[in-house]
Amino acid sequence: MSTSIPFHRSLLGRALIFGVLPSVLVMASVVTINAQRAMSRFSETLERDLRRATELAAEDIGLRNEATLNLVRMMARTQETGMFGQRAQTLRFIERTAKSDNDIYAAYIAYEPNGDGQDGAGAQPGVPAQALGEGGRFYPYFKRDPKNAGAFVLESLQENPQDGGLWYRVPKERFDRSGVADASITKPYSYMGVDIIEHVMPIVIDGQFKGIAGMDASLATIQSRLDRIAKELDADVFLETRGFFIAATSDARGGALRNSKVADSKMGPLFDLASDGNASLQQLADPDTGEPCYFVAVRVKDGAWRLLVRKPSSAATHELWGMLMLNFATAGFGIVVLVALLGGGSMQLARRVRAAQALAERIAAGDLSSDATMNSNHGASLSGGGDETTELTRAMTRMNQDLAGIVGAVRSASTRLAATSAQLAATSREQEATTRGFGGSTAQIASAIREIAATGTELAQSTEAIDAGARRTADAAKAGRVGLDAMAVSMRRLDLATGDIGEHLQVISEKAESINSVVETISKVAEQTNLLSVNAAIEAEKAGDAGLGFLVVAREIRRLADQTASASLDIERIVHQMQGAVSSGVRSMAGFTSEMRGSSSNVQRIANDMSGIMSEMNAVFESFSGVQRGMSSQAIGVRQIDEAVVQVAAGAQQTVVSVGEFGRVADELAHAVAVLQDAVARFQLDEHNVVNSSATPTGTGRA
Amino acid sequence: MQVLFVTIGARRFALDCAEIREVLPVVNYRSALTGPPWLLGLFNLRGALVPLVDLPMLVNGGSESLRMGSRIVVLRLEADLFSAARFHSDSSSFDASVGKLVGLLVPEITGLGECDFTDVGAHAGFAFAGAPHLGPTTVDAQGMVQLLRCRRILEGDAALRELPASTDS
Repeated sequence: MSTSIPFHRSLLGRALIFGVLPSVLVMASVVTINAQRAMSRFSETLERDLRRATELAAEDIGLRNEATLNLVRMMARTQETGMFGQRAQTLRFIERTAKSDNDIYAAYIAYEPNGDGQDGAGAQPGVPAQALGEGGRFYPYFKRDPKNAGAFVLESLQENPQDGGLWYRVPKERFDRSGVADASITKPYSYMGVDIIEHVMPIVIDGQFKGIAGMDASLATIQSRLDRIAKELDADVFLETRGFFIAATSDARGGALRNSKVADSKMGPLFDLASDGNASLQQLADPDTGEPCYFVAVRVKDGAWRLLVRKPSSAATHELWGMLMLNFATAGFGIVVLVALLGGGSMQLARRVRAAQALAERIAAGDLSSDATMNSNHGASLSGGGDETTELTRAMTRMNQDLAGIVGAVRSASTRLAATSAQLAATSREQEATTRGFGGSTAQIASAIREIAATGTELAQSTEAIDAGARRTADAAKAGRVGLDAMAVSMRRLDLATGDIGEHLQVISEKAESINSVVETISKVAEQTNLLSVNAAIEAEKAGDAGLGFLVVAREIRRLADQTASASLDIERIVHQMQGAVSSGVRSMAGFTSEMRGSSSNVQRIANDMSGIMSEMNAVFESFSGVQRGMSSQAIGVRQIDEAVVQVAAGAQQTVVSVGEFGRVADELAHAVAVLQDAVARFQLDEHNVVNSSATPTGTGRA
Repeated sequence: MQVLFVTIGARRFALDCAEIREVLPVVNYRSALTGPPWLLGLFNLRGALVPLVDLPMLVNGGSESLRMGSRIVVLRLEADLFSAARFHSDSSSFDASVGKLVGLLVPEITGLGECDFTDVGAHAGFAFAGAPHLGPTTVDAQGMVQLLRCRRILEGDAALRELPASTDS
């Protein structure tokens, strides 16, 4: 039932509109911008190059003229500085100078009539007759041999019948007029049938005009140089002086314009563009053909010559067009490729979407057979590809299979529900009988609970006895703690007392020191006394018999002194012993004190331990209180159970009534299942779907 | 005769009390820079400077350490043996009585007593030259004791020869 969709709303149509059209627009704008930029850059470059090339060409021509003028100046200068009148030498000099320059057509020197006073001499060795003019005048003219390009032939100068030797008269008149001798270039004219321009310089000695020196350049030579320039520029070149064309390269007329008047052509105003140094460029219509051309004009360095270059614009832009065409072609190819890729892709996409649509329509119609899915003519696209449409098709297929599974499960479940409802009715009748038996059991439970309550009360009494014992223990520990504190105080007092004893002993030690010093004094006195007695005895001896009595006294004094000395020695020994006893007493006292302090700290520690025991005892009291509280709450719980059992018995009675109600509801359920089975019968199913679902009933819940 | 018993080395000697002027405890003295080894120096005797002689060094050539019983025994000589002034004619400016005193440093005085060196049991001494100071030897309750004639020690020719031409004083 695929409906026809207008092309502009189909997938292919949209792909072309939203994909190809913007690409075409972008490419077109890119190509246009590129072309504009290339055009402006190209014309700038072209004009710059053309101008620069023209300037270079003009410079080249100017340098060429300058070189020739310098040669002419040199010839005149050599005449003025001593060669004037040396005719044979002058001839050799002219020929050598002419040969030094390849572009020169001819070279000459003309003297005034009898200017050197040798006209009458006529031909002489080294001065052939061809070098002489009318009346023996020195009139030599070396011109390039037409048969042999490297050689020059000598002939006499000629004067045109029309102008009577304008080439000589003009420089002479100019010198007479200005008094300044300078080289100049003439306008082109025809001399003896050859179109030339002339570089000429007057010879002036002591302010007197004595003749001229000159060189001719043929217009054909200049023409060939212009041809080279024209070829390089790919343009036409015109060279002008004083209203005459010197040479031109314009197509067929190039030769014809030579030595013709500029006024005869329409090019005149174009030369007026020229200025010194820089070339000026204009884009104008050609005066002859009307074709748009670039015109570049520049003044040659000499000043009197002007160079004009003409280049048709069409030749310049031809290259640009080629480049633009390549751009357009590339853009067109890109668009074609884009259309092909997008069109192909969207057609394939449209085909897959149509396949998925067909499958969905079949499912809507109730066809869930797996053949319909697997045998569809788009089965091949499921294995290949991998884009979103493939996933869509796969999802459709999966949905189809899952639906089939669900419907099968529902169908088998309804069958089993019917059986179950029948079983339910039977079971409810059995339960009714069982509930009646339950009433007897509850009476037994109630008596068991009463026994538990009695046991709990006994247990509570036991815990109270334990609690009392623990309290007595705590009291004893408290009393011990008090005794220990008293002991610590006694210890501290004892410590103070031992300190006092130590101080007293120290005092005794000091006193003994004083006794020592006294004894020392006594010893010294005894020694002095001893010595005194010796001297007394000696004096008594000297006194002879008269001193006998004194001698006895002296001996007695000496004996007393000896006794005093020995007694003082005894005292000293005893004091030393006493000091030793005192210091050992002090040491013992110090040891006793440190032991005392150790005991004191032990007592403190024991007291702390006692405190720890007491706090733990308190924790035990807490626990016992908890147990007692638990016991009383247990007793309450037992009473509550007792009440609950009574209620259960009443509930059992009620259950009997409810079970009857339950049987009635089961019957209604059976009726509802029959209705469900009718509804499910509408779906066509494979055999294996039904079998699988009935084999794994829990699977329906998952699906 | 009344004598002063002294001990030098292990020997007991006796000094004649008639030669002794007095007995003093050991005092500080100023050491002599030159002179024989037995000359210790000068000490101050109640304002007078008196030469001090090491008696053990003089008697047996060995010095002894001082002890509790050590004493200085002051003798009066017949002549001023030690002063440099003795070698000059002008000696009037010196107190002759002081100049004739000399101190003997005795290691130990053991006592004062009566002793007779002339009785039958005494030995008159050996008659060898160079020891005029060693007198006769006798024996008493404590053992043998020899009389030491100190004046002779110092006044003998041998002793005089050993004295330098000039002393520290």
